[in-house]
Amino acid sequence: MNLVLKVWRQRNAEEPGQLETIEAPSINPDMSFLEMLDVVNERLVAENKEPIAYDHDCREGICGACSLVINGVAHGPDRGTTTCQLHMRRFHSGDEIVIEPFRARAFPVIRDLVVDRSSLDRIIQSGGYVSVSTGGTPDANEIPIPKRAADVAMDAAACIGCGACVAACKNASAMLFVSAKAAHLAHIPQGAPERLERARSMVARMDEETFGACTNTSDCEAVCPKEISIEFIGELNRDFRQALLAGR
Amino acid sequence: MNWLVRGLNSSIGTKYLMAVTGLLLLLFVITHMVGNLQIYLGPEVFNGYAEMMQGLGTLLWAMRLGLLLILLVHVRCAVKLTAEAKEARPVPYAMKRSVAASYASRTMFMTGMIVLAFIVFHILHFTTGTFHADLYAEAHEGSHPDMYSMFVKSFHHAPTAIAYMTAMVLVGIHLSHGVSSLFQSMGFVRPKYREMIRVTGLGITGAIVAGNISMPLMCIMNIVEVPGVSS
Ligand code: HEM
Ligand code: FES
Repeated sequence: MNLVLKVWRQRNAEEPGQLETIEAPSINPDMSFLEMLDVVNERLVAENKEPIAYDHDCREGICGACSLVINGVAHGPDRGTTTCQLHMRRFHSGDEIVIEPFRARAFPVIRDLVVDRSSLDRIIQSGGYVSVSTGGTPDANEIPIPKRAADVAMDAAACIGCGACVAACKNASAMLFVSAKAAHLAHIPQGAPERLERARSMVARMDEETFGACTNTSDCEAVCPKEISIEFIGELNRDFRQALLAGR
Repeated sequence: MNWLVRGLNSSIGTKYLMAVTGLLLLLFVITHMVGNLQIYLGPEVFNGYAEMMQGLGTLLWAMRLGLLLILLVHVRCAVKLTAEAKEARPVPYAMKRSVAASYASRTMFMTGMIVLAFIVFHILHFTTGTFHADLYAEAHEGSHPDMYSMFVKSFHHAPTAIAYMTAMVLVGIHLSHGVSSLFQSMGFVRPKYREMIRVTGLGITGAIVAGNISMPLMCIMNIVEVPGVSS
């Protein structure tokens, strides 16, 4: 298949970027989206042009490194799918595909489609952990955890921290990410005691990192490759309220 | 007190204020509609209600002041959230599609601002009598103000009726997202209630829009009339 890409090109954080039209001829429909970009890059290098910079690592949908807003949707048109797991058969020959970076003030562009998502790491550092060191790995099932609680915690823990929620949100809010990272600890006995303190500190850090506020549009949930529910945002709202009003 | 100011100024705190004031405004809108629906019970009942409200005196002013305060907090938070959201994405997308977000959820600030303009117009109409001043003066000629006649005659004026009905559609769009959204913002949610809250929100919104639109509509169709006056 033959495609026309409109790719965001930007040399670095300081210089302004723009969309550049790049031809992508003879693409195999069984390629993943990233493999398609690899092929395009090989051609660009052969023509002595700058290859397109983009993030990737595992290429199996579990690390959260790949990003991209494809035709206006974070991680492209497939639900519950990362960009690395998106395949070119999803498109038609002759299509024009607009490829942009995840856009947010808290995600400055490093180059082309690569953005700096360390703001998410700093939110984790502010409270997304259990602060009591418990020694070595305990035996399985040493701490009894109800099945329901373990399931909910696991649903939240499925978050791979890619930042698609921020990219899709009209307010560039990180609430789905933060609420998932708070919830996967809040639901299990190890993390529950610090639930309110954690909500307070992670939200404070989130605000400092200049993410916008959540207005419950639910676009984040729709693009999340792990299909994390906005029910966790409601929970974080509740925990934050309790921390504010009922805390000491 | 510092903790409270700081907490309410945070992103979630602002949303919390938004939700609480939104809920209070919603309760007011419902009460206001129920009061006005007495138009269907005829001049005696409606004018009696209007006179009772005027008779509240200081209490009426306390309620007006309280409402104004609630509205100001709601609008102030709306401006803050909207400005922060804009700052949070300085370079816009060349192409952006919403996958799940409703039209209403994406246009809350715009529908809110139009509703605000309508509120100002509405006060200039029925409270101060600046708009339709002739009808307002006429209603206040006798010993007892005849707000029933002013109400009905105002809406016999087609542009006025249409303006009110349009405003109610916008209130409806605002509330179609707002009512369910406020539960999420306040953290009163459980996954199993999600669908119920959404449907209830739409139901309340539908009732408000239908009830409010019915009044100018019945007037413009001459189903509600001033006794002894045919138009
Ligand atoms: C009769 C008047 C009004 C009522 C009953 C009302 C009701 C509500 C409700 C229930 C919410 C949901 C709160 C939440 O999401 O947690 C809301 C949100 C909002 N309102 Fe209003 N509102 C009114 C007037 C206004 C006005 C005058 C503005 C002016 C700009 C406005 C702007 C907004 C905005 C921006 C939001 C936040 C939307 C979001 O979170 O997506 N509203 N309103
Ligand atoms: S590259 Fe690891 S999730 Fe896509």
